Amino acid sequence: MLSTEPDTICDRFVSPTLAKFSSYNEVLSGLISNRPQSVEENEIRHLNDRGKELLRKGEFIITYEALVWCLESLGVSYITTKKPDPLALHFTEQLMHRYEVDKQLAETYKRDTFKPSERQCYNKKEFELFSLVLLMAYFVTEDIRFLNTLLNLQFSLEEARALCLRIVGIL
Amino acid sequence: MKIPGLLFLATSHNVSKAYLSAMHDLGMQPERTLYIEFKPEPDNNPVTKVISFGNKAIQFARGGFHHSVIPKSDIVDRKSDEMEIFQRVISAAFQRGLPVEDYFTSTREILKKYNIPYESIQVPSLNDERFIEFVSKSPQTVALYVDGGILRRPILSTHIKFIHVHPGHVPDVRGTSCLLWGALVHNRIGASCFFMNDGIDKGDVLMTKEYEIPVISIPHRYMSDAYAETRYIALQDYLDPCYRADVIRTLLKKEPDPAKWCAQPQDLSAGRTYYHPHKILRDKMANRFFKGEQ
Repeated sequence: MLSTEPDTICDRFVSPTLAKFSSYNEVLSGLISNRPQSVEENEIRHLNDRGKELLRKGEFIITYEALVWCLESLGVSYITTKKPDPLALHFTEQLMHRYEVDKQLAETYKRDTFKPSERQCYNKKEFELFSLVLLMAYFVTEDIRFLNTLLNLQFSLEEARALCLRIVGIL
Repeated sequence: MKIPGLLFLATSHNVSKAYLSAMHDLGMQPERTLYIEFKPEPDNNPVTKVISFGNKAIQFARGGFHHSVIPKSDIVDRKSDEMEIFQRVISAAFQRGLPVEDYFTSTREILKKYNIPYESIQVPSLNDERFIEFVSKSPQTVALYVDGGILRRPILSTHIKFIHVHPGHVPDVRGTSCLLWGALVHNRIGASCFFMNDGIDKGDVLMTKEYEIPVISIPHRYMSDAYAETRYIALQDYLDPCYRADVIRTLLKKEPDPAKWCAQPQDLSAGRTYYHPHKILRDKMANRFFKGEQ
C-alpha cells in the first residue's frame, strides 16, 4: 500500500518537510504562469492556500510526508528547470498506479470501499492531498491519466475536483 | 484451409464472432476450436466433448461482454433506438472494410454457420487447472485468446503460446479501454497483436495497425446524455471487435502459418498504461466517434 515504498524516498528527500513550505509561493507562480487558458489565477491561488492549510494541520505519517515531497518536487523542479522532476513523476505514477489497482481490486470483488486493512494507509487528508498532487502532476505533464485518477478519487479535495472537471470540460 | 497449429479459444464475446468473420473472409478456419463458458462453479464433469452441428445454441442471441451482465428481461425489452445506434456502428465498420459479423447471433451459431466443429468447456477462468490440463494435452502450438482475464504463469508456462489482439497501439497505449484512450490522447486509434506474457500488454508484437477515428453519424437525439452509456457500449461491443479482427485478418493474410510468425519485442520503457476511465472522461472520449445528424 501507499506507506511502504515511499519510505526510502522520504528518508532521502523529505527530512525538512515543513521547512519547504515557503516554496509554495514558487509553486503557485509556476502553476499560474503555465495554467490552462480557462483556469483562473485566483482559482489556483485558492487551491494552493487550501493545500498549505492541509499540510500545516496534517498529522504527519510517512505517506503524508511522501505526498508533500511529491507535491513540492513537482512544482519546484518545474519552476526551476522547466522540466518535471523524473523521480517525482515516477513517484506520483506509483501512487496513482497503486490507487488504481486497489480501486480495481475493490471493483473486481464488488466492494464499494476498501477493507479496513487496506484503508489504513488512506485517510481523508491523504486523499485530499493526493488530489492536489494529481492536479499539479497534470499541469506539469499534461498526462490525462492524472486527471482520470483524480476524478476517480474518493474524498478528493473539493476545489481540486472542481478544477479538474473544468479542465476536462475543455479537453 | 485450416490454420495449422492454431487453437481458437472462442467465447460468447463479440470479438470471437469478429475473428471468425476475419478467418472466413480469408477462407480459413482454426485447426481446433474450443468454446469456453466462464462459470464460477464448473460442472461436475468438465471434460470436454465434441458438439455436433445440430446442437442447439443455448446462449441467448445477443452475445457480448456487456450484454452478458444485463438481466435477460432487459435484453428482451431492448429499446429499438439502442439497437439503431448499434446498427449504425456496425454499418460504419462494414463501410470501412472491417470484418463484421452478425453480432446478434450467438458464437455457437456462427461456428455452426461456418461449419467449424468445436469442443466446449466450462471453467471459472483460463487459469483453472482443468483448462491448463486441456491446453497441455493439445497438439496445437498457438492459441488465439479472446477474453478470460490475466493469464498467470502456470498457463503461460505450457507449450502453447497465446496471442491476443489489444485495441490500442503498443507500446503507446496499454491497459484498459484503449480504443477510447487512443482516441483522446493520440487522436487516432489502433490495435496490436502480440504474444501474451505475464506483463499487461507487454508481449512480443506480431502486428500493429493504426486507424483514423471513424466519425459515425447517428440521429441527433442519440447524442444526448441519456444515450451516453449506449454509445459507449456500441463502441466497446460492436466497433472494437472489428478493429481487432482486422489485425488478425491482416496477420493471417500476410502469413497464414503461425509457425512462421515473427514477433518483435516491445520497448517496455515507452508508452503508458491506462486504467478504467471515469464516466465523465469515458463519455467525452466516446463522443469523438459520433456526430449527430441534423
